Amino acid sequence: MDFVTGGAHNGKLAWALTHYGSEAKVLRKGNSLENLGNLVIVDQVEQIIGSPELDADQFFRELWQWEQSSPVYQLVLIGTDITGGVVPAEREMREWRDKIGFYYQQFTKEAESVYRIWYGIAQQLK
Amino acid sequence: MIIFICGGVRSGKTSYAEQLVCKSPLEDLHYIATGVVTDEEMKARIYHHRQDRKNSTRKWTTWEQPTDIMKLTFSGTDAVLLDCITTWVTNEMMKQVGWNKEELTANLVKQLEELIHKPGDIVVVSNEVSRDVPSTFSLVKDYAYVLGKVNQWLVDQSDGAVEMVFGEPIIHKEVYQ
Repeated sequence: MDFVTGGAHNGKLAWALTHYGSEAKVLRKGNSLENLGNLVIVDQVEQIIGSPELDADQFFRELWQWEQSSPVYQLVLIGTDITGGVVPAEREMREWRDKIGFYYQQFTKEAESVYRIWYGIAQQLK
Repeated sequence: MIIFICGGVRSGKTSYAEQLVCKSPLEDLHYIATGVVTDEEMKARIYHHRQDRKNSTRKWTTWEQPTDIMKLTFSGTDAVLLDCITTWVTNEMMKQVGWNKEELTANLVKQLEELIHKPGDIVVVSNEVSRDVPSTFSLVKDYAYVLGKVNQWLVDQSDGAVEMVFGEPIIHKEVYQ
């Protein structure tokens, strides 16, 4: 699993499609995990983590298991960094932001490679 | 040469940019100020930047241009500092109420396209605002979108691209000396 992060509107998905391959299956919140192919890019994971109706742990566990099931499978998670702004006034937003920080730490720990995208340019963090 | 500098507030973007422009071998230095005085704090901020340029080792010509930056004409002997993209995008958005984010982005990129190739050297300063939680206000959302696209375009066009972190430059694209 690789993890790609960076601020909003920094060109993360465009970079990932160029770097990993445009044939990737791009998944977002609400998409099913069927017919995955060999390369899966999950875009906007922050929406999945922040969704009250989704079990994010279950979602990522299934994808990790899928990736482990064959050496040719590659999983890429793209998450917008929303942790660098003013403390939000709303409690839900604060909780969401905290959750994102915890999840991204976990992704960074478990990922083989981690990239931070800065306006289209990748900086490899791991 | 086109150099793009982006960073957080008080990260030392402008002084770093000024140093780069001062080092330019070109004859004439120009400062494009996009900020508009809206209150006392902004007045003090602009005064502070003005004093810095007055105390500079070289002489600067200042152009106050909150919008329509493509109207300025420069030549190959000019070294220009454009400070900054963030306030300019704000001013343009306030002027062009009713445009959608794609129209705005296209218009701003066109203005920059006209401007940045005229001077011999140009250093463009922008501000980092893309790591906040998404706003619930559509105007702020559009602003983040437009600014992100404009910054991406500038990085793509630039010969050098620098992220300022508390006075420390992180070089993402290195072509300059």
